[in-house]
Amino acid sequence: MRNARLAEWVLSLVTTPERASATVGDLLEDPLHAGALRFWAAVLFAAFSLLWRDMAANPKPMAKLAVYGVFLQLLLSFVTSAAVVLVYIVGAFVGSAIDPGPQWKWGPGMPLGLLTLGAIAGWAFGLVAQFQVGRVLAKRSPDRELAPCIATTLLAIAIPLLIVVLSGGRATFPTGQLIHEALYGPSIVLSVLSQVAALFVLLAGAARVRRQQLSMSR
Amino acid sequence: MAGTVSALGEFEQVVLLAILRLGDEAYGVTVREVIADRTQRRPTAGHLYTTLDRLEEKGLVASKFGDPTPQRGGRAKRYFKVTAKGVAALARAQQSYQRLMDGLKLPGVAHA
Repeated sequence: MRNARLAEWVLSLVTTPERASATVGDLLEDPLHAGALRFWAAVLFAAFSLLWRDMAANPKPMAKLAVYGVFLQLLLSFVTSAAVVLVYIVGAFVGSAIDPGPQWKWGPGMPLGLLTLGAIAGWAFGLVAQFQVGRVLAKRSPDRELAPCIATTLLAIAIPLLIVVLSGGRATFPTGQLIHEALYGPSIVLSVLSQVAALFVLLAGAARVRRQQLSMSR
Repeated sequence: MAGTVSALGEFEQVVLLAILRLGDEAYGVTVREVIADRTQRRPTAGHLYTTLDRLEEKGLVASKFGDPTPQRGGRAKRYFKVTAKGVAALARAQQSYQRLMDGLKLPGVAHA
C-alpha cells in the first residue's frame, strides 16, 4: 500500500518537510512507482541516499561525531554491564531470601529465571543506551540529525576490523585471550549484524530529536 | 577553472541538460522522463534527488515550489531552473569534452 503520509514522514527525517512532500508527490505522479513495492523501494532508497549524502558531504564534522558516538557507546556499555551485574546481585539477594540455598552463588549454575532476567535487563539497558546516544548525536548535528548515526556505526565496525587486520588476527590481550575473539565474539558476521541492528535504535533516537526540532520550527 | 569542471560529474551534466531542455516544466518526474528518453537510462529517485540537492547547494540550479495539485494528493511540485553559474559550469565541462574529442576517432563509431 502506498501510504503517502508515512512516506513523507520517513523522508522528512532526512530533508525539509517541503522537499519531502514534493518528492512524495513526484513518486505518486510517476507511473514508474505505481506499485507499492516500487513506491516503498524508491522512498527508502531516496531516504538512504539523502542520509548518505549528508554524511559524505561533511566528512570532518561527521568523523568527529563518530568518534564521540563510539566513545559514548563504550562508556554506556560499561554502565550497562554494571547495571546488569546489579540486577544479578539484587535478584540473587531477593531469591536467596525467598528460597535460601547455594544455587544463588554467582556463576552459570544460577537459576534460569535469574539468568533470563539478567539477559533481558542487559538487552533493555543496551537499547536505551543506544537510543540515548542517537539523541545526543542528533542534538549535536542540527539539520543533519540522522547522519552521525551512520558515521558512528561505520566507525564502530571499522575500529575492531582494523585492529584485527593490523594484528594479523593473532594478537592477544595480556590474559592470553585473542583480541578478535574479544571484539567479535564467535562470529564476525553476527557482530556486524548486531551493529547494524543497533544502528536502527540509534536512528530511532536521532529521529525523535529530528521530529522535535521540526515541530518546534513550525 | 579546472577545479570547477572536475567538480561537475557526468550525471550532474545530464541532469543540468535535462533541466535546460524542459525550461519551465522541470520537476522531478519530467527530469527523470527526459533523462530516460534521451539517454536510455532510468535514474533512481534517490540518485536523482541527491544530485538535484547537490547541484542546488553548489548554486548551479535553483528550485521553487509550485502550487499544490490534487493529482499529487495536494502536494506541490518542486521546479528547477539552471542558474547562470550552472550554465557556465556546463559550458566549461562540455568544452573540455569537446577539446578532448577533437581529432579523436573512436573505433567503431561513425563520425560526422
